[in-house]
Amino acid sequence: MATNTTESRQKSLSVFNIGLRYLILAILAAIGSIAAIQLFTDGFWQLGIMIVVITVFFVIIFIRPDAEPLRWLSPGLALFLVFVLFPLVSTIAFAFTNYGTTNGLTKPQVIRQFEQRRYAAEGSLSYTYTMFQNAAGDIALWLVPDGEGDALFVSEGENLSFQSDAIEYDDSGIPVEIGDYVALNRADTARTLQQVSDDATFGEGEHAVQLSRARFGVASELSQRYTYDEEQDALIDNQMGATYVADDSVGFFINPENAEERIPVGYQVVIGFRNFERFLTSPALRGPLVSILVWNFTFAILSVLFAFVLGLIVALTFSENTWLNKFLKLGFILPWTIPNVITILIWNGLWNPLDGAYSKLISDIAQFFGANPGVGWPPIYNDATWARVALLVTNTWFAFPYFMLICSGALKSIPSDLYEAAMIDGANVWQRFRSMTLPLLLLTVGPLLIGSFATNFNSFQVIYLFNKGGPPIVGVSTPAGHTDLLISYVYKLSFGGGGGQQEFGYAAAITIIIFLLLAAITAYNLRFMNIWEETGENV
Amino acid sequence: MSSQIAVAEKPKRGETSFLEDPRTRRALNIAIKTIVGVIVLTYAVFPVLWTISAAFNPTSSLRGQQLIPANPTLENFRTILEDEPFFTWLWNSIKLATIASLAGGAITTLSAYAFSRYRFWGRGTMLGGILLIQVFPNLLAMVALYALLLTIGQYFPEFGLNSHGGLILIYAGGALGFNVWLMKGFFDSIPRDLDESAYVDGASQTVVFFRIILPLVRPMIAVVMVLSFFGVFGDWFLPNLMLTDESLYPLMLGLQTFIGTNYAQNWGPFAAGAVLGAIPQLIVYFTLQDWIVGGLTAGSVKG
Repeated sequence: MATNTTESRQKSLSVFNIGLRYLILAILAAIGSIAAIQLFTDGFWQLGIMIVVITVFFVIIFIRPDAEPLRWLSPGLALFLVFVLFPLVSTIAFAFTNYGTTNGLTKPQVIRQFEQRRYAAEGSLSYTYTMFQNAAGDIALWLVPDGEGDALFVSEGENLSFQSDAIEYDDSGIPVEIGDYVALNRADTARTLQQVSDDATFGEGEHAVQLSRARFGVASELSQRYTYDEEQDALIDNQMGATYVADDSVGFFINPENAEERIPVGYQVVIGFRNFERFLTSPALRGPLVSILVWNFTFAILSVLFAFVLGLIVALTFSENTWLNKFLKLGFILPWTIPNVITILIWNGLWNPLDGAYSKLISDIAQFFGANPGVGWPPIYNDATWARVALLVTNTWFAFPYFMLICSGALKSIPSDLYEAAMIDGANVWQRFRSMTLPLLLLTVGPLLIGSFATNFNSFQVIYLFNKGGPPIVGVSTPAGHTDLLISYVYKLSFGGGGGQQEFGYAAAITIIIFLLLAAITAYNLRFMNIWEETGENV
Repeated sequence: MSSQIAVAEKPKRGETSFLEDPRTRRALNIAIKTIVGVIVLTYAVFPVLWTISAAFNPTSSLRGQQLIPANPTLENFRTILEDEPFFTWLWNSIKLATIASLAGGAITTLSAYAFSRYRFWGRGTMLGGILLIQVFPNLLAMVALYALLLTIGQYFPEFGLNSHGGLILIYAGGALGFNVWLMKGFFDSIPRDLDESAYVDGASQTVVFFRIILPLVRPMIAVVMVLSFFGVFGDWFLPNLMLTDESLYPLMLGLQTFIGTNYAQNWGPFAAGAVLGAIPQLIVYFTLQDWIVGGLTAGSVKG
């Protein structure tokens, strides 16, 4: 049916419409190609490929009449490809690279960056400058060469023209003003100097100068410090006279005679399975990982279990449709209506070891039973067990109302004659619950439990805002804490939660391991739930 | 439910044991209800009451707070509203959430329509893929997303790191998830005869989609958009990762940064901000709870 209507509409499309479509497509293709070429030249070949794929995809689906369904999908698919699939694929790619703080750029970028570095070579011409400024705040320099030669008037990046005979000079032969530029005195120069960045280059061509930071009032001509030699694949340091050869196995330019001596800024290279090897062999890294993994599963399972059980108990207890129950339920769902971030921050106030309401309560109870805890007890944030319990109590708080709502709905849908039949057969309350209510309930709630498990497994926001994953695990080389989940551990490795270097490549390797774990669990559960069959149901 | 049936059975006195006596049962029932009710209600409501109390507490610090403050004051509200850029944060949140949920809603609706009304090559794979990829939340791809925005920002700073544009693109890209399944289900429930009779009457596909199908699924689109609005509104992770400029902070990140600087001292003004910041979601969730739960049950995300 769809194809017939498509064809008839195709015929009715006016020439103008078709022309417009091709024009838009052509523009789109042009933009895509330019973007891709730019990305390729800058070394972002992965993103470049992605742009090419999307452009080709768009062109094909808007030319081929039989690809009409894909046109509806195209905006979503394009964003999906760039912002979901591409990050996923590049995460996988990162895991096989040394990407990180010291190796953040691509090789062409590093080379370009180093080729822009300048230095004042020995014997190069130096100048004495006088600083000028105009009303707009632009800075210009009057350069008088220390040796022979004419004076120059330059601003940042360009030479300014002036007519030497139309200028009024002071006693020492320096102009008072040139055009709208006015000469600054020594004090003003010193002050203005602070606005000039260290690597600002004045003038252009071979007479470009940089201001000397060591000697006030002196500027020197510059030469290129590093030259890239394509034949040797090396950066040559013109100042030190050294050669650094690119070593693509580690992603650094290194001194061929002494591998320890290298240019500190490296580039990204593929290092194969080295991140995974490191992960599996280094005991200092693996140590916290086992404990984190165990806690991650415990946290996810217990979070779902507590929230579900409490939600179910409340739903069962207050299942009758009375005004009192309705009113109580308004109170029960209150936690669910509050944004998670605010929840955690509020609870941090309640758990505060010195003045928190709940900490005080626990401390008071302990005192009531004769214990004499000191100030700052219970150690909610400093003791692994306390932190974990507090975290679970907090997490259950905002998760149980959701399950209460779901369970209430599901319970209503269980036909009551089933219960009557069971009663006649002499089943008691527990038997009825265990063999009828629960299985029937799990049928509806089951997929949600799995979804909730996956959410809790990556519950970064909760963990990180609660205590940044702490208290820290002592004696490990990476920033790991007792309440850290894999995801917050990855975050710390990636973005240096505990200071130190950012190890994107290694973090990506762990991410892949998390993904494989989750995908396996989910795929197993989805198969168990027969959810895949829905896909083909409406054909 | 079980208790009603128990009453209906009415065994005679003396024939049953103590536990099966209806009167004991009723008493037990009430006792259980009271105990569960009191405990759970306290658990659920106390933190909220405590926060509201803190918002009106004149000492504005954690120390010495009482549930009912002695001299309630609006000073904390003044502090958070006037001394802190609360309205900038709120505006940023509303801006991000509105644009992202509109874009996400549009994308979801268009895609779900195609999945529901067309049969094409790769349809099943795509639907399955969307579901499976949901297991890989964009949280896990944080490094890649960060690097992606870094790259984009070198060409278009307004969509790079430290920009609202970049965040919106990520949110909208992630919209093509469970919500597509949800919407597809709703499109499926609209009989195809409806489209076909319109086609017979000479309506174009655009007309059928916008005039006939769309009005019918409008409530569902609203639910999807409300959910994604508050998903973005309540998000702290991505803004924290991508934004460095404080004037771009959304509410959650702003409040968190504010309380993070000095927890005990900023507690009062924070509580005031939290109360104000929680109100929109609270109102909407209370009003639309049946709709939202219905939506969530069909393809859940939160919980």
